[in-house]
Parts: sequence; structure tokens; C-alpha cells
Amino acid sequence: MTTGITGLIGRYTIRSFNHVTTLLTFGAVLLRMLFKRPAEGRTLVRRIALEQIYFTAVQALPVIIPIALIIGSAIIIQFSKLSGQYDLGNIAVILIVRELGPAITALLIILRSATAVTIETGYMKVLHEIDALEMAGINIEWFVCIPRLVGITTAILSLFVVFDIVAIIGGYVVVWTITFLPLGNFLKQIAGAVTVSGIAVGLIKAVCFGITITVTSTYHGLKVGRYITEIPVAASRAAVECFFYCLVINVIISGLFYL
Amino acid sequence: MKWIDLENYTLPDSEDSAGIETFSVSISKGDICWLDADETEGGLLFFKALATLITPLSGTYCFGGERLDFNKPNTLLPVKKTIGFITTHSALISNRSIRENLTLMRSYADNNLSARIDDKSFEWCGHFSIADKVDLRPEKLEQSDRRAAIVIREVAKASRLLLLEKPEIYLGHAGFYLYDWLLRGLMDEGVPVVFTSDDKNFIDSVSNRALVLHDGQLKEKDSQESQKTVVRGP
Repeated sequence: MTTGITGLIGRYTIRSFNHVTTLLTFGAVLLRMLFKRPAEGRTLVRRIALEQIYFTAVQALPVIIPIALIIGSAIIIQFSKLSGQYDLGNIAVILIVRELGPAITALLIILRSATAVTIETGYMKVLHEIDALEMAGINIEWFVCIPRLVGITTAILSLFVVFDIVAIIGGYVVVWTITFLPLGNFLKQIAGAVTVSGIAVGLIKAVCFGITITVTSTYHGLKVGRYITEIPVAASRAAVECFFYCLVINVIISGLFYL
Repeated sequence: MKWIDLENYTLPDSEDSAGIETFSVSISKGDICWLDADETEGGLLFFKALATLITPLSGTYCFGGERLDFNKPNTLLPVKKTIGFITTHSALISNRSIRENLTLMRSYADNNLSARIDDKSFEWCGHFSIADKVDLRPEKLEQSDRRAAIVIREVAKASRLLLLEKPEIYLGHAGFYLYDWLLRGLMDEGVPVVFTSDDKNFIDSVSNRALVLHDGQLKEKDSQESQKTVVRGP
């Protein structure tokens, strides 16, 4: 075995590569199942997916709306001073719709739901509930992972739209109400800056983030072994990995569309 | 007829116990098989192997004449749902009520959210005094009530094999009389049973075979040795 820094880097690289390929395989299994849905359990899976949408999207609204307002207002305040040189509406759209909207929505979902999903599935593993489901003839990927995949992806998409609208319109209203900053014809500029490709990129990012977050968090949850002390480790690892993968995907998609 | 046939089977080490060295064992309908295990975790490992919850290192598993393919885990699900698994590793789904737990298998198979607890299971809920608690979640119940729900759920589906860990203490002393009655009904129907127990009276009265699991080796216990065995007290 190679020792020293070279060996260390080599082993870490191989481990990381194996881990990423395992996650990709797990993701492929879930996506294939989503398109080739088993006949059994559809009603139950639909109900759990709806519950997941409620927990992830509806319950997150009181958190995401103030965050969107604060970020939208801050961006509009900062860039209104530059509006003589740049188009304020364009800047707001580029920053909020293309970059900050999907990223902040993903971060919020990671903090609220990815950790919760990892902890929940981890507990199910430790408390032998996963075995109990299997012994009832229930397919774990279909019953546990798919509803969360559908729920979280739908939630990110919806929250992304909410974030964009609140950050741009709400931010504009906040700044217009409480400051005397020159905003020009901001809303008209926004209308001109929003393009189909801009919205499409945001939506693609949201879908990719949803899939990535669910695959990573359920994988880490289901990988928990026998001991309860493994759960916080798995939750922490899942959250960090989700955030890192989302940032990487964000850069890749932005590069593909705008370079 | 060999109902269950494990050949040249080797089980890997688990987190809590050593694995089981290569063994072959077959179980037929009507077999009531006592497993004399030196460690609880070893017995559980064997039960999990019979329940197809553990992928073997080597060997073949034939269930009802059909060879199981552990490379395709989803093909094992129809087998799993005919095996009753009543051990300390059996669980209820904690975010579902007892009623939902008891009907989960049918709700899943029939795509029906309003599945009712079947009459026989509901009657048993009455016997075990949990009929008025079926709409509560498991954490609201005492451990003995949760275990009673597990027994009812597993016995209702155990049409082909029943795996029991120390039935004499599973529901406590008070519940054993009912549990014993329930089990004997299944045994009379010819459902093969594998169980661990420290209760000599129970072992002598129900078992017609014995297996020994000592130091990771599984062997058939011959009848003379069986009689000489000192059974640990409950």
C-alpha cells in the first residue's frame, strides 16, 4: 500500500469516486422506478408524497417568504445605486431568478428537509422499521424513497417560484415604500429581462436540486447501521454533501446555458 | 417435502455477532423446530437468514421448491410477506397507527387506503386488550401492547413459515397463555415454525426437531442429545 500524501490522496479520490458512482446508481434506480411505477402501493405512495409536499413546501412558506423579501430588498437597494450604469431589472433577474433563487431554496430545503429525511430513514433503519416494511412485501425504494423524491422536487420547484416572485416584486415594494432610492421603471425592466430560457434554467436547476437532495439524504439514511449514534453523523454528512452537489450542479447548468 | 432448503449456506458476520459457518438445513411442513443458540444475536442472525433479510456469502435458498435470487432483492418480497417474523427486531411503523400497521400490507397490495382490519385480527386485538387502542400510534402504547400488535400482524400473514424468538417472554408472563394458544393453532395447521426458547415445558410440548447453534456452527441435534440438554431457566 502506498503511504504518504500521494497514497492518501489516491485512496481518498478512489473512495470519493466510488461514493459518487454509488449515489448516481441509486439515483438511476429511483428515476427508473419513477417512470416504471410498480402497480402495488400507488395510493399509499401518492398519499406519502402529498404529506411530503405539505411538510417541505407548505410548512416552509413562513420561512422562505421573509428570506426572499430580505434578499430581494437588499439586492435592489445595493444595485439601485448602479442603475445609471446597469439595467437594474436585468441584474435582479440574473441574480435572483438564475442564481440566488434556486440556490437559496435548495439551501433552505437542505436545512429543513434533507436532514429530516436522513434522520427519519436512519431511525427507521435503527428501529428495524425498514425490515418490517420489507417483511410486509413492501418495496423500500418505491415506498420510502419515491414519495420523498416527488415531494421534495415538487416542493423545491414551487418554493423557487415563490422565492423569485416575493424577492423581485416584494423586494421592490419594500424598497419603494421605505426608501427614496431611484428605482426607475424597475417593473418594466423586469418584464423585459425575464426570458423563457431564464425561467427554464431556474426550473431545471430546481428539478436537479430536488433529485440530488432526495437521493443523497435517503441514501445516507438507509446506510445507517444498527446504532443510533450513526444518525447524527449521517445527517451531517448528507447535509454537507447535498449543499456541495447543489453548488456543483448550479455551476454546471449555468455554464452550459450561459457560456 | 422440503418446504425450505438452505444448502451450503454461509452467513456473514453481523455488527453484533459472528457469522454462521457453512451449513445445510431443510424444513418441512409440520416441522416445529427449536433452535438452541448459545447467543441471542446468533439466533437472530439465523432467523434473519430464514426471513431472507440477509444475503448469504455462499449457498442456495429454495423456498417452496423455488430457488431465491438474492441479486434481485425485489423478487424476495413475495416470499418475505408469507413469513411471520416475531423477534426483538420486529417493529411497528412509528408514524402510522396500530390500525394502519395491521392493514398496511393489504393497503399496499390492494391500493386501498380504507382497508379494514380483518375480523380474525380484530378478534385477537380484543383478546390482547388492544381493540380500543388501534387508532393510537405505537409510541402511545405499552411495550406489551406494541408486541401484541406485532404478533397479530405477523401471525395473520405467516402462511408459510413462522419465526419466533423466546415466545415465553415476548409478551410477558401474562400474555404468554394467549400467545401460546395462538401459536398452537398455527402449528396444528402445519405451518412450519422455528423458535428459540428457554422454557423447557414449552419446548417439550411443541417441538419435534432441534437445531444447535454453537460457536457459529449450526447442527441438527439428535434426540438423545436433545434429552440430555440442560435447558436454561426462564
